[in-house]
Amino acid sequence: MLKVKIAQNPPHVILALEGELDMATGSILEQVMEQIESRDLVDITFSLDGLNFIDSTGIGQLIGYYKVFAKRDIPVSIDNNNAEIEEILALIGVREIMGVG
Amino acid sequence: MPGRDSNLTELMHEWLKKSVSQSGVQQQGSESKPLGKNGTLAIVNGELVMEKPGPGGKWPTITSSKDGRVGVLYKGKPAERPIVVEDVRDIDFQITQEPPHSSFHVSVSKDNMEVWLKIESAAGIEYDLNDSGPVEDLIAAAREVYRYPPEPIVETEVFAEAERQGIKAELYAEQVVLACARGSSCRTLIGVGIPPKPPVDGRIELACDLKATKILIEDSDRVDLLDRGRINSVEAGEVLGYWHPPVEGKPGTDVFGRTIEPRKPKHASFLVGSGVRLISGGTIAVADIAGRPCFERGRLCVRPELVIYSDVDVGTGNIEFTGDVIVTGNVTESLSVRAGGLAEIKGSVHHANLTAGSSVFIQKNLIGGRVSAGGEIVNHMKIVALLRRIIPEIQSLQKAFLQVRAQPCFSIDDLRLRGDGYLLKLILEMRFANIPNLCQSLQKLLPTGDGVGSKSDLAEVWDILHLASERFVGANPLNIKCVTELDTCLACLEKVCSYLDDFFSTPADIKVYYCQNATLEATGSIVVTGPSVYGCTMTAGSHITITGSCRGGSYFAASSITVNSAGLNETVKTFLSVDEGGVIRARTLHPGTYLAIGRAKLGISEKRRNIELRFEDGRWTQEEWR
Repeated sequence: MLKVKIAQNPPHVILALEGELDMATGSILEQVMEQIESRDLVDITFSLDGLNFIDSTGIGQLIGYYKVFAKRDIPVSIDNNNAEIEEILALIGVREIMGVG
Repeated sequence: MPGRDSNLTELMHEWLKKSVSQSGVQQQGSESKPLGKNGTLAIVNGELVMEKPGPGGKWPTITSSKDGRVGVLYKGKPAERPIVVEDVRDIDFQITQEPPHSSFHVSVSKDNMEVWLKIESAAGIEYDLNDSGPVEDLIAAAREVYRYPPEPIVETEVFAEAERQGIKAELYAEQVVLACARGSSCRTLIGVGIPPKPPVDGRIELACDLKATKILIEDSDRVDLLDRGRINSVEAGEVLGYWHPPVEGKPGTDVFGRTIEPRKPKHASFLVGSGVRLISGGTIAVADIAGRPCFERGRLCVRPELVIYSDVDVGTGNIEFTGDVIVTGNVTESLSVRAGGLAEIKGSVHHANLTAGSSVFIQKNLIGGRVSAGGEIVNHMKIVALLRRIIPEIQSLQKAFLQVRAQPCFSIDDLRLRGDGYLLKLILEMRFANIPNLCQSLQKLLPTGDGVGSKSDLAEVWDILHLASERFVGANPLNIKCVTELDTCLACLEKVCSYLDDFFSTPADIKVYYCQNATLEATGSIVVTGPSVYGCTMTAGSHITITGSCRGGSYFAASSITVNSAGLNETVKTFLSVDEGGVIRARTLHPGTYLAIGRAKLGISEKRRNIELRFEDGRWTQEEWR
């Protein structure tokens, strides 16, 4: 399961993700993003400290948000203290475009 | 009596004066006319009739006919000149009659191959004395009274005569009969011998064109002044000519039945010189080497080189030759020279296109244009250079994928469903975006269309590279089901790389004195011996050596670049790059020079001297170049 908590409201949004971000749970994050994407935003930070698992679909989803908001000049970053998740992000190259929040 | 004589003379003179005055004719030193009537002669009913002249009149004369048909006899003797007739009884006529005549003659031509029948035939004519009116000077003439035919020639006599002469050939009986029945003179062919059948001389049939050039005229009647034609040239193994052996003739017979031998046929030996080999028992000549076929001293040869003793200009047109090409002059603007072997230009090359299967030597300057040494191998070299960059990138991609998949908190459930391609594409986009770019560059270098089939084994290679490179472009990585596909792909690419490497066994070099704004490509080395190089693009499969300064442009060599001075300032960008493991040496590197060894790049911001640069173990190493 995935829990998405809006840790900080717009315009400086922080979304805290807990559980698993994968093909099955990605829709949960999608629903939350739909709620906030129409708001006036300055930046968005995904906190992945609470994630246990992530798959390529989940990573693709995060990269997708980065690309969508980049068009609106809204920076998207990832805040993460999970070393294993961080390793995955580095290997895939996510860290090369999405900095630390 | 003297007195009496003088009186008589005076009397005669007076009488004569009177005669003149009576006739009314003035005598002013001219001849005088007789006073009496002249005598005449006539022939009436075959009889000579005379009217005697009056007093003082002229006596008539008679003459034999001019054709001799009627002779005049005077007192029984032939008169050979006009006879003054005093009495017609003194005159007789002798008339010559024309008897009929017929004869034949059988003859044989000088070559004893023809029998001719010559018939001479004339009708008999009876003449009589022709009547004539009275004239003072009569010329006797004859008239035809009766004509009767000649005796006919009997054909059996003709055959008998032919047999008597020993003629064995069968005579044309019908011609003989017709000729005999004609009754007039004629000459008729009445028999022939059997001529010998002539032999067929041995001959050489050329299968190649020995003309210097073949002018090409387009269908639209347009003539490209630069494309004046192709130099005739052949590839090794190409058939140059066939030898057709002589065929003996057959003997014939002359009209006497004797055998006539035909002449002996000419042999026409197949004489070949250098570059040509005889096969199939000497009946087929093939080119032993690539080059220009020609006859030299009566021998068929293939010259491995074409020498242009002038500039290559609109006069010569573009040059294309399978062997070596040597130009003693310059290659002028917009012209092209394509040599299957090496190309040597004694002069300069200006904005021209120079392509050689082997090395290129330009003794003077190269201004603009493109020079390629190694033919299509240059393209192979570029392909291999790209592959050497792509392969490690794909290996890194594969390694990253496996590392991600091995992470304990990475779920691979979606990959089981979607395939490994999804994650591979993510990594490609995020970390290895250059792989699709390199693959697209590779695809642009791959021969397409007709060029692919030039060598069947290479066509397969290009197919492999097309498939492999296409796999990493656009959305195609999503179609990769399993990451193990990358192993297969890498194995293929490495094998292709190794295969194409074999084509570089004899690298082709470019050597030029000076060059400016030109593109140079060589499978081997590029050497510029003069003082400078400006704004060129060079690609060398081995080394680039510039003994002078090198300002502006892009220079790539697989192994090393050695230059005396590179760059000038920041505004004159000069790129020097070598493959991984290569080395760059320079006496002076100015700012504005950018170096690359493999993927490592280094910009020069301040002047550096006597430098020898390498990139080893992930870092730049610099030594002093002595």
